[in-house]
Amino acid sequence: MKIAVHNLLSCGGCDPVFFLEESPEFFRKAEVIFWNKVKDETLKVFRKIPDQGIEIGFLCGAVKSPEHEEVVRLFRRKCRTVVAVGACALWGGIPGLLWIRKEGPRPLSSLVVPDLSIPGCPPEGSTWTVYLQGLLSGRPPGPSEEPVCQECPRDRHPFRLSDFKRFPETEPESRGCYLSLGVFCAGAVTQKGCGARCLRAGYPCLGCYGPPAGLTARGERLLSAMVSALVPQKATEALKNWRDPAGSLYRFDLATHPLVRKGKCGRSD
Amino acid sequence: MKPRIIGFLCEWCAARALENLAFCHPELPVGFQPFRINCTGSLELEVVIKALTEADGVLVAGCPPGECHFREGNLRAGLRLKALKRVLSALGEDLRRLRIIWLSSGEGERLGEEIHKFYRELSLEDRGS
Repeated sequence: MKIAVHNLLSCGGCDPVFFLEESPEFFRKAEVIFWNKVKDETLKVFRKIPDQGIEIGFLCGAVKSPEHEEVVRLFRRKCRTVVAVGACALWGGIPGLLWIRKEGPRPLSSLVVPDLSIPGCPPEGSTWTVYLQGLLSGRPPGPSEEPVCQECPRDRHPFRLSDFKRFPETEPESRGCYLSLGVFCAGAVTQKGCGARCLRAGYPCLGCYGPPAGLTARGERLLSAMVSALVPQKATEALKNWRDPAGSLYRFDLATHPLVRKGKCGRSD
Repeated sequence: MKPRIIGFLCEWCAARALENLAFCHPELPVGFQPFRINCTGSLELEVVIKALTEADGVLVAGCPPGECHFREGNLRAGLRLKALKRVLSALGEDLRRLRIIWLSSGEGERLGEEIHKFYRELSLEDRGS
């Protein structure tokens, strides 16, 4: 089985090189044709490969430069299965926050249609295993319908808020749901699969696994839920003191936000 | 290109105000597209964002505070839209494109004035003709 791997605009944390131990049987079978981190090769070698000559191509990271675009199109042509790995490839990821400054990277899925999308920043080892096994058996898994809250160990109860908080402002010993503490925890609008790794470590969910199947506009939904929980008398004050709105709502998917996709100032005519 | 303003009008007040206004055969600017919604509280932010991508401006009109048919739908909507404005300003969006007004069902003429004012503020009046 021939595979190719390439890193586009990303920190490199979701490169398969970190997950070799998680799926040893998969990578033992694989013959690496092109992997810019493991083998010192240029794209020249890659261009000589006949079309559809590679079985699986892994692409990590977002698309920024014309070179990135060329690599993505090459991968689509040369590989029978293109696997997009990580939040950057799927929704633009953290680099996508550059769109606040009106220019940033695009997700890979805006150029080509990947056959399989492995979510996460970076994906958990167990997620790799599940997705790669699904790929080999011919039944690749899609996004889950259930949110991270299903796996979260924290206590849930009804709540009203008087203020929004950031994580460092919360009490370390509190065991309640982060939403009830006023922290924008993205768990409720994020698909499960990571085992609530961050929440078990005591940190609110950042939302790197992306929306559950069928959920759109997750940032707006989270905002709607949080604002609806505000006590009306204190709402104005809370909204005034709320810091980093774009980062807390669209941390990983600002590049796919409709307003960003449409061009910054709505219609430019 | 013709301007386009999308209006989300609460059916208990603003949509009736528009009906009242219609009896006077007013001159409304080109491209105003009203949508009747059940209550401003039922307006999803996702829909507002979608409307902002499609149109030049979005007008949300609901009942005055304390007069909501569902007791506090308009207050909730007001808060939510205020929060959305915070987000839009963080994204560098022009905040004038989203306008929220409160008016009761009898104030048809005021609705007409507000629509004209909205067009003037976005300087869309001359584009329509």
